[in-house]
Amino acid sequence: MTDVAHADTQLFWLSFWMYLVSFVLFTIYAAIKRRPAGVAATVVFTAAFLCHTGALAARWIVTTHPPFSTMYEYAVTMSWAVALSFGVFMARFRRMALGVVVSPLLVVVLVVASLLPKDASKQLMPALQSYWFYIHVTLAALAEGAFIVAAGAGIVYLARRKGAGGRDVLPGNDTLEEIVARAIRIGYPLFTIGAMFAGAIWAQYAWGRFWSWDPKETGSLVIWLYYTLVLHQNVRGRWRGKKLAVAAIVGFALALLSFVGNLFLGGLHAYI
Amino acid sequence: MANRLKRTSEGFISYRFAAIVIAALFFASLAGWIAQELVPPDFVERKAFYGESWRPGLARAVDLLRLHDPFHSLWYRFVLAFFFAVLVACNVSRFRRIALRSLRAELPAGAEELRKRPLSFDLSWRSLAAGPRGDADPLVRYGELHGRREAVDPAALEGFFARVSALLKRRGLRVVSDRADGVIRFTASSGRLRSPGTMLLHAGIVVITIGGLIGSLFGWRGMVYLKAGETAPLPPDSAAVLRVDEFRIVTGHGGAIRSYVSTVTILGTRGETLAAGSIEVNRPLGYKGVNIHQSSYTMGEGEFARASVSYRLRGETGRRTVELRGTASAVLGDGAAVVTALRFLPDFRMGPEGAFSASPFPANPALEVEVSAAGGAQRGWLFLRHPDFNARFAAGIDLALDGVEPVYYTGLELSSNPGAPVLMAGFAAATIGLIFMYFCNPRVIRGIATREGLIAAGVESRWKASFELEFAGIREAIRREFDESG
Repeated sequence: MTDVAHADTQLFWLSFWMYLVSFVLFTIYAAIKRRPAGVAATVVFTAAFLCHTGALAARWIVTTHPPFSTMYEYAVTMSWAVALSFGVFMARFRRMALGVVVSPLLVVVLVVASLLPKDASKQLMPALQSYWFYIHVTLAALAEGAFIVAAGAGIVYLARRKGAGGRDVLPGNDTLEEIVARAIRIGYPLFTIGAMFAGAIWAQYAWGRFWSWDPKETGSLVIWLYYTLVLHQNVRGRWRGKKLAVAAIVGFALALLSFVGNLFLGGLHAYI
Repeated sequence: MANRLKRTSEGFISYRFAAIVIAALFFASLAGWIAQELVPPDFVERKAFYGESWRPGLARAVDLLRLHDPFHSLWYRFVLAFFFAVLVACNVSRFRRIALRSLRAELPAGAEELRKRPLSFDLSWRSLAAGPRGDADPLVRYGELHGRREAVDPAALEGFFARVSALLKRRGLRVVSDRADGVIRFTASSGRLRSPGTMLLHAGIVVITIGGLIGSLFGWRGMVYLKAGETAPLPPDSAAVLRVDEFRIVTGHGGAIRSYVSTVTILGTRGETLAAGSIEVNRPLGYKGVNIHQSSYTMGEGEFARASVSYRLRGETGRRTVELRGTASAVLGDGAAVVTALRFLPDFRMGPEGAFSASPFPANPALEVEVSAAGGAQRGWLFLRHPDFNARFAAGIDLALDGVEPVYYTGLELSSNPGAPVLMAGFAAATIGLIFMYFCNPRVIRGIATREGLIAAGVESRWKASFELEFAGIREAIRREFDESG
């Protein structure tokens, strides 16, 4: 068991450094536009993702419950969702250059995770002992992973418009816009069902009320309303292209604020 | 006047106005979120103090706008009510159109309408049969360019259309067709549940809001703190009484708390048992619409169930232990002294007015005792976690607190929310709507098959880039299907 306990953090650090290497390789690929560099970056990224998955599995074995109960565990799970979403989009659109932006965003989330306490507790606190906990946190993490990919594609879109990056390796504007919109449209229902609905139902079981205006709940409502607005504006053809890209980046900033808000906002969700 | 009213009502249910109202609610929630964090939690209690120490008028503005509790303020409720009104109006006004749209498949009006679309093709049966070489064949090309197309007989047209239809079906599209004047008009579509999904999501949010409103108007909640054996009336009619039989704190790995368990009985007016059960966090007990939740626990200040005190009398080497229960005294040794417990503090602190407990939790348990010996009585404190600070008694008696079992009070939240079933129905409707809405990919291709050829256009899609690829793929598949060039 001790070996597994070490494996958890060792795999975490291994995946962290490999994501960093993949970022360097993706940047080289975008700069020199040579396919072997892109393939090497993708291979390293895939290996990092496997280590990342291993780190989560080891954590699960050590703590005997899914790794969502602390902010460190949530950050590692959320970054895993980012890597997974990126993999799905890369497979769908066959554009390796997106990694130039997604891999550093991943590294940023993992840096935040590395600064958080990593103590593993086998005992889930009573409030977290519910299957709603797994539904709520898993869907919220997947949603935020998709929002981060949307923000990454948004950054690439804006960088392209300014002429940065190689035009032949980066996806076209239409494709980038589609990636941003698709990522938001994947994240939005997951966030609505997971963070809002499942969270409210769980709160009713755990605390006897669906909604408490707790700072974290309010933060989730703000994020939900924001993406609701983005989608309405997108549907009516107002926020397309550059505006949609900026909207995705602002959404990521709001999600990040709500996530790190646990450290200073207090309330019923103050788990560190 | 009528036109003006019509314009206003159309504006009220427009996408543009919906976006404005969502934006208003977003900014109101953001402002409330920030205010919630910036305004001190004790603002209401210390209004006068903040009025003096803040800039003039600031405390009054915070009070007027209720920024200490922004989500129950008038301005926030107004924005919320407006959002609700617009949402209801949008649902009602669009219901018929969306319902009809999801039931009926719209067929193309004419070939010209399709040819104008940016995503379209117009292929003759002859050019399709000629295959890729058809473009190079001067006879075929000349005929195509000048509209001289060979007509096939009606039976062959049916056969050709059946092949096109089968191909579209293989690609997951539902084909609806109509025959008139020797032409076949058709619509191939997918993801038609998206529109009802949108409707269901919006209706679900309306239902959730209604459920929340019912809960806030007709629901109630309250807290009771009870120790084992105590009772409290069970609202709302107090015909039943809640009795706590036992409260336990269950520990797990490494002494971490695994669960808080309250065993309770609900008694009738004659003392008969109406219901009984255990309550844990996430496992409430329900009785006639009242939910009883394990919310917290506390310790009775000054109370303890039993304390274990070890002592050593002057001249002795070994220590002996005595158990104290409540305020009953215990004799030390062979009657050399008597020790009496006076007060228990779970989280001992010393303030200007003497000792007090900083919290109801056992952070620093301390027991005040009185030792009566031949020389008189003397009081002093014994500390469980910091024995170095234990009082020294003049009679030469060395006392230490080895353990203490406090009296626990379980904190139970009693609540009733008649809006809960409505909320649950809203969550279900909105979830189904979301699944339809976001996991159905709507694409519509309309076309006309004539005796000369096939005209088709992509008229609706969510993802432009992907649909362009898909449409090009369909065109190529049709070409391959009819290619007789070998």
